[in-house]
Amino acid sequence: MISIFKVYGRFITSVFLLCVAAWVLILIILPQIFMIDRSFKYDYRGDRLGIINNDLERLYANKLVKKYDLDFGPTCNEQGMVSVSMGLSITEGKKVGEAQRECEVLSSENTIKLEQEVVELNSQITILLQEEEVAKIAKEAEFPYSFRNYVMMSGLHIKTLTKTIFYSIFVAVLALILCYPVAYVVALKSAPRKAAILFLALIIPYAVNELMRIYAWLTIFDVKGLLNTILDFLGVLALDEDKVIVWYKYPGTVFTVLIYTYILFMVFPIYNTMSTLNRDQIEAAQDLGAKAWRIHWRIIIPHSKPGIAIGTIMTFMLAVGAFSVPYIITRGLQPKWFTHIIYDKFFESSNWNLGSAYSFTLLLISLIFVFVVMSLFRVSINELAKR
Amino acid sequence: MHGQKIELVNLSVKYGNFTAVQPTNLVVKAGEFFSILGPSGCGKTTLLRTISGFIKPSKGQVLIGEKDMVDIEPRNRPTALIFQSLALFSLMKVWENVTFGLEARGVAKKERYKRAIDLLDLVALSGEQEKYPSELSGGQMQRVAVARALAVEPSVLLLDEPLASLDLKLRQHMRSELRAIQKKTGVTFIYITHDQGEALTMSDRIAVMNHGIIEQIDTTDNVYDKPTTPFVASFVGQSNVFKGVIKSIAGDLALIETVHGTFQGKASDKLTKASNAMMFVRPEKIQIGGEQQQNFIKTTLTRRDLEGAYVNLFLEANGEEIVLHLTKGADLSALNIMDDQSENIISFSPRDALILQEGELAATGKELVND
Repeated sequence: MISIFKVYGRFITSVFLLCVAAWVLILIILPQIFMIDRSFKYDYRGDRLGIINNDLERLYANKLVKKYDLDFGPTCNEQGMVSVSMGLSITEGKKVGEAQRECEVLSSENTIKLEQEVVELNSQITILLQEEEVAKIAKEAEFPYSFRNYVMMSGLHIKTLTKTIFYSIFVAVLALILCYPVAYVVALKSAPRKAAILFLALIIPYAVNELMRIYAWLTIFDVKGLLNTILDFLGVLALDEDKVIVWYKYPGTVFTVLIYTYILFMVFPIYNTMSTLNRDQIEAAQDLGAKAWRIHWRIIIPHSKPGIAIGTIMTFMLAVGAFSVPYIITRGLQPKWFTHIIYDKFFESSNWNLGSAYSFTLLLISLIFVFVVMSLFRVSINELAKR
Repeated sequence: MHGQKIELVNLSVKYGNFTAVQPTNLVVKAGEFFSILGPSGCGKTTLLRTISGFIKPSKGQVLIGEKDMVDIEPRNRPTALIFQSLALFSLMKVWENVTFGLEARGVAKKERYKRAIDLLDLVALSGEQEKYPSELSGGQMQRVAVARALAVEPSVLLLDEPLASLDLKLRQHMRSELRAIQKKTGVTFIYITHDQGEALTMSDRIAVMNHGIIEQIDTTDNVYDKPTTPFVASFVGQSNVFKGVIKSIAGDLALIETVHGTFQGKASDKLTKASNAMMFVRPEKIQIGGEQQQNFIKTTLTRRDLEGAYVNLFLEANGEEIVLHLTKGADLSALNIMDDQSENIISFSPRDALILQEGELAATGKELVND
């Protein structure tokens, strides 16, 4: 810490540290604490306070409607009743003076009725507000924290959660199988020049916006997309006769696009650790008579273990937290991803407390996955940080 | 373990337009300690890697024990390579390192462990089997690499400057150990080095290589005493070089005219009259005094360095530097060489002067002499 002060001077270092502190506090610690706090508060909408709130909301809405009618309701002129807001006049079959008189009688009766109703609503609101005060005090006296949000996940949601996790593990494993050879070729098999070109080819797609890359896959998987067109051309399908395959129905599409989207997060860490391996070790093993698989199993994989662990963890985390890929690719033809349910809890049913509990559950499961992977690979946090 | 003969027949290696190894013929006898000596970039490592199978020759054959090796993978050759970086498997214990070759051959773990203990005994590393390479010293790592290579019972052990990263004391110690191991096992050793001291102390025979060409293959004594090219003469050991023109040749002696005068020396076969030539005189073959001799030079002392057992005198004559070694035992004060700028006559016998056709000299020959 002191060395940073020495290198950058007091001012810049202070600014830098303050920024970091603000970032950690405002964007990480506080939202997490807020979320965790809410997740342990059960928002029961069927208790007295919930009912009062509900009723109050209804009464306020009612009152607003009446007020509107009073202020902007129909008026009378010589032609009869005119609604400014609706632009209509009622004059049919009535003499000029008669219509106005009739209208005025009607509207004064109506106004009195509306005013009475508003008074009544106001008195109901006052009563409810008093009751709400009492109920609120009663609720505040109760201990607010409970695990109820965590234990009330429905069977369907649990199923979705389990499926999301297993799918994500599958994505991570598939990505690993795919990326290990790629990393091996770039890190250990190619001359530096060729490795640089391969590397560039890996990075370039990531200059394109993620959504664009996802949408690009729609042109492939669409009912009249590239894949079906090719199969049509080969005579397997017949687009004209509606003999098509609806690819969006199959989980494979989500896997494919998820892997494609996050593949770099697998390749890079593996490449990084692998490229630190002294190639002489590989040649030494060859010279001692080892076949290719043994060299991988005994030398390259053990050496790249930290990178493989990081890549697997990152890909899994990103897949579990994916939102746009499953949303765009499935087109509603496949079950939801768990992130969609969290979204629904927050923004569709406005139940932030339950949403917080859901997302905290997901976070915990992801953390457990991290530790399982780390112990599986016998990699310590220190080692991960070093890479 | 029995060493096998190695034969390179008209072997050459090209990288694109660059020829790393010019067409080479070489025979290494079974059970021999053979060194290939040359400056870095001379192609000696390429030659070694071609023998071990990591580089395919552009032309020619590699025969090990009369068998053509060209289409045989490195892992199936009866050779074991010791890398300059040692290339120990850093994530395996010492005993696993040593017996990796046996593991690849499907030997059971118990048997392997026993073999590891035996091999570690051979290289004086008993009791270190459970350590990781990073816990060992440089010399110990070196010996693990040797044990690992010997574990597969190779007929030929190829060593690529394995001592380069060790300090002087350890290097000298390892030289005698390697030599002893070679004698004990009878394996053919091919040893690559740029250090002529290493090559001279350990080897039965030496090949001196430059620019992809083997300039001389001979016993250590002959390489030092009877170099056949200016490069060998200047690369192996230290030499004073006098350039000149051949005046006459009589039997095995020739007269050469240089800036310092005309000298007599031993003539090589290829000399012709009036051609450009070089005369090489080892620093230890020059004496102080001797005006009555045929070969003498008037010089001025510029500098003297104490080098342990002997003294290096740097003398100047006609703008050229001449080096001479004096053993510490000689009475230096009597020789009038205590003061710089003192005038001295030096001389050498014609038998100790070697005259060769003019050719390329080793750039770093002088600096390498004492390390």
